[in-house]
Amino acid sequence: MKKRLFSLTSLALAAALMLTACGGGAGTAGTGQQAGDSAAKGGAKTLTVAQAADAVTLDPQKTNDTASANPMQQIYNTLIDLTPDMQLKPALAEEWKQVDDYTWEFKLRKGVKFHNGEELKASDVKFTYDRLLDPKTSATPAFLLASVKEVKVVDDYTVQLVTKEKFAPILYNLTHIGTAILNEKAVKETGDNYGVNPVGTGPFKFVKWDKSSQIVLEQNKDYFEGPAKLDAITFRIIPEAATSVAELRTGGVDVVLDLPPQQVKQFDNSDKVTVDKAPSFALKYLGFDQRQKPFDNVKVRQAVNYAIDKEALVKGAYQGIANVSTGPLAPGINGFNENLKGYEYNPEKAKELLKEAGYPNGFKTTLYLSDKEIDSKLGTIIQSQLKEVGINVNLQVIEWGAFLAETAKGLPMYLLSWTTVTGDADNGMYALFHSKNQGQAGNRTFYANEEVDKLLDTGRTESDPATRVQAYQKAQEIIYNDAVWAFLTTGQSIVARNKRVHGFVNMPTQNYKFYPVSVE
Amino acid sequence: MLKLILKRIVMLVPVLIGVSVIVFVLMQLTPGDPAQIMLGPQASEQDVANMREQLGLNDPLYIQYFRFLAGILTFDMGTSIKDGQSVFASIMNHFPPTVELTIAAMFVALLIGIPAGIVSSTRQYSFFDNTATLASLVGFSIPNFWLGIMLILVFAVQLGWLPVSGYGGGEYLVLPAITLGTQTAAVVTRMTRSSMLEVMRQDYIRSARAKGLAERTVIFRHAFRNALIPVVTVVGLQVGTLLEGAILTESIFSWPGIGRFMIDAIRAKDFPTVQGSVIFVTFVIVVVNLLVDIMYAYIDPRIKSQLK
Repeated sequence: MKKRLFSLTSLALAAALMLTACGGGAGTAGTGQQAGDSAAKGGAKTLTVAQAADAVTLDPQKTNDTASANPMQQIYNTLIDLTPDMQLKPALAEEWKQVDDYTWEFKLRKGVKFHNGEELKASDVKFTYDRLLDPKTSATPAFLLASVKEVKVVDDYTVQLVTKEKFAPILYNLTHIGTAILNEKAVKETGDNYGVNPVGTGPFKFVKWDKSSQIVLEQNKDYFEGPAKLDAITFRIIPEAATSVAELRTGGVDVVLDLPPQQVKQFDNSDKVTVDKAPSFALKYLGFDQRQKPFDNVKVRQAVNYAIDKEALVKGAYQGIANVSTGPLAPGINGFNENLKGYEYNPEKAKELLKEAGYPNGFKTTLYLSDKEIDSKLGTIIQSQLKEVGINVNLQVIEWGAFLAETAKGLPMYLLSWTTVTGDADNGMYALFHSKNQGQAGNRTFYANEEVDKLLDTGRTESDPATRVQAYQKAQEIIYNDAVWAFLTTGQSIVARNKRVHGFVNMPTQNYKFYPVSVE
Repeated sequence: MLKLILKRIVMLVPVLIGVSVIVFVLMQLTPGDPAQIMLGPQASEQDVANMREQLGLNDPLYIQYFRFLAGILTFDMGTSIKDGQSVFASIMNHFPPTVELTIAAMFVALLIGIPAGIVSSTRQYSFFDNTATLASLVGFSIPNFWLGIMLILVFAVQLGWLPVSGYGGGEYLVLPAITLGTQTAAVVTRMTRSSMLEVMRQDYIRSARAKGLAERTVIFRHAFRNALIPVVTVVGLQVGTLLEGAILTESIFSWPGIGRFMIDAIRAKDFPTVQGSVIFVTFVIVVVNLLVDIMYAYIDPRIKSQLK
């Protein structure tokens, strides 16, 4: 009996050991996982940041998602930076000028060191952009520099970008983390594994990445603007908002990025936690396929705009933490038209317009939604509001990937959002409204208006900032009057932090930099 | 015995091929283009086309399938569409935490379930039995995510005894193990109780008592060992349930295990990763069930002699 029990136990143990041993050769990223172990260094000033998703990769050219961008913003620098009010400021490029209509010249900061000790040279910039534009890289953010024809090294600290056509928004695009400068040697040395061994020039350098668990960075003592106030940053991956809130309460994390609006209220009277809110460049809209009946009629589109109570969406779906959208761009974006006030909530006017359009009794249609939770909430509210004016809406939820594919082919009515990642109107309008970008390229409403095309081209090619802004404002006005979308809401970037964290700057582009942050 | 093991291992092959076909077809049937998902709404048509070509998504389906199958035979599950890393290495990265969690949850389940089941059966319809029945019902019905969040609120936020979430030393394991193990504990309690009740009615138990053996000996040496077979079966099957429950539990406690890893892969339509990890988990469950079958022979000599 005893013997049998013993063998039974040893069998079970052996099985357990075997299974655990499978993980023995677990590759570099997974060994020695320990939650918050960097915090245990004793006295070191570590900031622990919670984010909901793990990074995809730390190679800025291989992704375009916020979860990867957050750590990359600390590891890398771009040539140019943005201030919170969307002004350009020098980063790796000390100064820049336009040589001719097609050529931009950048003077690099001298003495900048990569984390591997290499000095930043113009050749690294050329290498970075050549790699970004090489079709073999299949670079996710390649769209940012799609107009660049050639990258020229003038001398070690001077580099020129030559564009195929006049391309004015280039400076804004160069602030996007997707154009961060890489070190040629580091990329070549690590090859396919570069994404888990990133080397940048930023204020923090990469230490380790325990997949699905945490990304640990430490201070770069040689940072060109002087060392950061923090010794280390740990990004912890916490998928459940309820869990990250509990961590914030117990001091397990110091900062929670992109806190869902429904979690905000509980911190109203907290003496430990404060919530930073700032308007973001994320805009939620309801798109119409302009080719399909009845949405080919501008009156119908305007009627939908009047029939939706945007305030109710802000209250009902966003717990009040969002703003009513006034037009095709979010406030603060370079080129934003302040004169547009948004379609008021006026069901009577909506009914009138429907009558004029030949739908006195309304009509039936389908509103397509992605499977994101917020979209279902918005969809239900919109459904009931449109019913008031006689439009019977059937809600259809489609999985995100399929949703993108289907909207590119054309859906009568759909809910989608767009974040103007560069802070410039070109990024927020060219892909969405230019007739040459219909379908997959971003114009999912299949809107075609020659005048708007011309204005967007002017904005793209004209280098005088005032002329650009004028063109974009005019284009917004036309799009607004054409009611290409139902303009719904603009978002807020919500960051909860422990009050011991100081110096945090909330950014409308949701690109957070922890360089100026300190902890008590 | 050896023959049985060999036979079962050979049977693994058609099971795994079947699973691989089903997973492959299902992933193809779900709508959405992985290249488009990766690149997002800002990408151009040309970028998406290039990406599709690079990922080999333009090849005929059967070629994609055989490429995948050939890979598995050489322990190469390909590289992830999402991050370009080796699928096998990523699985090996995420599997140990799940094993740890599953074993701990099983430990919790057995520690609660077996004693509670035995006591319940020996004192049928007593206060303890009724309480245990009610507790099992509650334990079985409570959703994982709710229990997890409640445990965090009480033991981490209010009392501050344990960390909220994360992966590391033993203290990080306690709450997830209880969360995940509760349902299985309920199942094991019920199973042990009913199996024990059945055995206690057998003639040989009456004989044992008639012989004048102590009640303790009757229960543990005569009744429990015979009642154990169905319990072991259920426990074996529960391993699958635990792996499934790990998906939610891992999300709540930000535990870097295979459940979360698979969900992320499904969201990104990362074909190679989904296929690789489903095959891997299937393999593990089949192997666990094989171990359970082998255990029968150790627990019940009659089965062993039948095999001979």
